[in-house]
Amino acid sequence: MEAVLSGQAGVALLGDGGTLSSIHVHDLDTSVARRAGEFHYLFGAASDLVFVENISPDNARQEFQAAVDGEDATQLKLLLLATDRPEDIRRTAAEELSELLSASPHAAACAERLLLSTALPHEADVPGALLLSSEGPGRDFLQRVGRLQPYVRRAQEAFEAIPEDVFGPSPEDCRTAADAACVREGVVRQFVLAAAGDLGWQGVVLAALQIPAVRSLPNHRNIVMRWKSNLNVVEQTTAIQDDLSVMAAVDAQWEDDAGRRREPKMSAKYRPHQRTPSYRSSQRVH
Amino acid sequence: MDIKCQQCGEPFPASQTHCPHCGRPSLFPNVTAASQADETSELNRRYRQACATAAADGCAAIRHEFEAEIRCKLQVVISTSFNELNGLAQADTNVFSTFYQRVQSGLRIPKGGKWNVLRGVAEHAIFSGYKDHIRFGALSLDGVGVKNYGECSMEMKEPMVTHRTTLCEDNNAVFTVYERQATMADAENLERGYRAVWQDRQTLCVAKLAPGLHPGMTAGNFSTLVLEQGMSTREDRCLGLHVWGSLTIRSVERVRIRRQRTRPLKAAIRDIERLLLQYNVKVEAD
Repeated sequence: MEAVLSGQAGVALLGDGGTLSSIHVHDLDTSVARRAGEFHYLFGAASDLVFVENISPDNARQEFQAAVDGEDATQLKLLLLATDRPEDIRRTAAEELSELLSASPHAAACAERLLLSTALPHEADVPGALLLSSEGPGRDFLQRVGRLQPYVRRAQEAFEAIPEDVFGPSPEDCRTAADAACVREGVVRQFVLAAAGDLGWQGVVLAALQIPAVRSLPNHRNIVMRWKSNLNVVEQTTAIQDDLSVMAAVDAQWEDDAGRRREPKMSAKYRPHQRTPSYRSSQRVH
Repeated sequence: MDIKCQQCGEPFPASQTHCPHCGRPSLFPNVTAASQADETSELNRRYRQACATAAADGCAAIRHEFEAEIRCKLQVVISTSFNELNGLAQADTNVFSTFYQRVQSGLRIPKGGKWNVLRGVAEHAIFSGYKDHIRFGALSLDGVGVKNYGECSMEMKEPMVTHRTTLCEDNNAVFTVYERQATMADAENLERGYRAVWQDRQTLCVAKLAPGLHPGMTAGNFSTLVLEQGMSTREDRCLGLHVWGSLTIRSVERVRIRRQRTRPLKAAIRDIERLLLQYNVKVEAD
């Protein structure tokens, strides 16, 4: 089965042998028969569409629920941090965020994929947001995102410092595609956590090089390794041997599995992704 | 179809909003098309026939009641997503765009498939030469629009839209292509009597819906007669509305937001209430 998922639109479109159906955030157990022409009504201006191939219906539902929860957590967090919103709205956002994170343990990780992809703007009011949040998962989430901000900036700068030639013959398009894939697949989040010392580099690099969307990028190994080197210059020389052995292990495993899975097409897998520096800033302007 | 300029008397195509000879403004092309004598005479014939049938079935009184209800309470309602509403609410310079404008501006990618072909045929037939300027809505007696097009129903201010609004027997694609089996070549000869200007709304409603009236019906039953929500857009039954030209948040009287499960977020609804208050738009959320 193939699926198009959008946490923003709250819709997943499932395709199975020419038959299309959709499931919706308000009722995950009911699927509605669809035609291809309804695509734009279902997804509207959503900018977070993820195209997934070879996925089971249950996994599609899980992925969809995670995308919805992550999107909701992201929007609530941005409302909570916004100094131009009245206190009562920010307090409502804090309560709703806490409820969401208590009910959905995966929501924080999903939201972090986007929230840790770019540094919070200067006007984001983390101390004020903490004052409005009571003890609990919402407050913990805020503290964690606040603590990781220096590493978010470093990861972003390190990615931007990857030389153009690493991205191949059309570096601008490839850099955008790589950025989108790494944000969406959580690679940026993993790099931030590794830079902060919360995760080990070897595991992070190994995981990144196994992701089909990353592997579909031209010169993907060099992109990942240069990014890591830029982030971790001190360890660069001592870690190079480890890196080479990691890559060899990943390639061997990938070749073993080649008969069982299909490489995604980069153009079909991701569209250019806009990062979200403020509440709903990624939405279309009419 | 040509019309004569009211000022210089020269003929010009009815799809134009200005006389190309003297430059003076004309009517809205959809209103011009629905006002043609052959359209109104055929509509009136259908209306008289529906009235006679209703009388023969003992439904004359309920038909009168229905007609009065339509004349007094019918609203122009446009359904949209919460995200699109949020975009409109940000500023009164944000314009509610049409499907074709979104495609042309690169904000939306047209998908292939049967529905897009049908849409093209229907819109060529009904809005020959000016489809880019038409916004779609539905008639409603209770302020709730077609739910399959979005969780938010925008009830438009009557003085802002009714002078440029026309009505169609059903969703224009469903009606034109499925029911009338029209092709591009039929555009000039589309069967008359199935569209109307706002002033003739009760005429079209009776012509279409009188067979559904029966003694003992209450005003509450009329709402579902006028707009029957389907599981998908293909199954919706409504009287389609076509509004010429741009709409902003200042064109909106009231918004009804249907909250299901966790969406839209409570904090986001409160935030949009705050934004809409400055334009005196009333908000109701389930």
